[in-house]
Amino acid sequence: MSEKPPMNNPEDELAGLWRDQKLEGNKVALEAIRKKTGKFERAIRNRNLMEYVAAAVVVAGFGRTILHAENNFVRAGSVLVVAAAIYIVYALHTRGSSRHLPGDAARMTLVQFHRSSLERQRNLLEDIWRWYILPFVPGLLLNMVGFAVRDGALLNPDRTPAQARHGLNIATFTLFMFGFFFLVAALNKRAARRLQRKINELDAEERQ
Amino acid sequence: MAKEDALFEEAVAEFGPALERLARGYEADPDKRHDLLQEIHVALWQSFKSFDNRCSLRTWVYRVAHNRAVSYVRSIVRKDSKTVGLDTLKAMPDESTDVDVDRNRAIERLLALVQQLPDLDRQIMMLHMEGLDAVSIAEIAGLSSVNVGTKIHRLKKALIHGVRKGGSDV
Repeated sequence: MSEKPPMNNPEDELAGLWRDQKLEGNKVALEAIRKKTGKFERAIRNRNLMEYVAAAVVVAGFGRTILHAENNFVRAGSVLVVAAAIYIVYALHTRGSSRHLPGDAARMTLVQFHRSSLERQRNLLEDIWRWYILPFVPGLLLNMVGFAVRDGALLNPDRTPAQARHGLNIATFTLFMFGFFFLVAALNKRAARRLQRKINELDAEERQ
Repeated sequence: MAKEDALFEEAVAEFGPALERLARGYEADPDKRHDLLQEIHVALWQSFKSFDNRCSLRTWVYRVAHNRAVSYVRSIVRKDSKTVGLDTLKAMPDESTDVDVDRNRAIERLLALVQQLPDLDRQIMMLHMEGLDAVSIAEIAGLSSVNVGTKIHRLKKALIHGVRKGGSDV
């Protein structure tokens, strides 16, 4: 019968394996770090810029509609959509970036940082309906009404059956659109509840 | 020399290898690991502007590094992102009857297992394997040292079992 060699001390085995990893050991140059910092900060600014550009596209598109609107419903709806886009950009700007500041990562323990990240994600998911979807609802609704009026489906005493069907199509589309918004909000709320459970677990860990 | 420059040089001299191992514990892909390590270095350098000696340099460095790494991991989309809990590790069948495990394969196995641990478990285990005691880890993590000790005890048993389970040579 072959003898098995003595077992390694499990206390040392893991640490020994961990520290025996072959590392690249590249020298870290301060100048490279400064350059990289600049690059990261530019990437964050570009991301913010994309949000402003997206809002500008919405403003331009609906702004044009304001000028050439077929009726006051469409005009009013487009004004509200433009206002919503401007409001969302303002809210993004004042609520600040979702990233932590560099000093936070050191002032927070690992558990605090975990919790802070989870809370931020949870708040974003809970608020997405209120901050990003709801502002557009009045304007979009008015636009739909405006299209129905434009096409003779609404406020038209001489409405034909074809126009009535068209009005029904617009109403159905509107229902689907808001149904989709509602679904997005509901899914986000569910995800927020899952995050809250993780936060509760972290709280329990801290209390032990 | 600016304060953050001096502190950064000191941190890299003392903790450079530990930071590289830390990046390996979070990211398996070599290119992404390199990016992660750079992000950790940048985060450290930036953070040193507000270093106020309220904690040791070691505590500061490990908090920044781990917190930055966790942010990085969460920000990237992972196709196979799932974590392995302790029960799953313990339930893995033991295919090896040989106590001696090929060293390199054992290291790879350990790394793969660590990368799959839930974030807080991974952080505690990596700090332990870097030689920190439960009290030091508790200060960094924000847990009690008793809780840290309990976690380490359970995680060690599970990781040892996982390392020995896979890839042994006769």
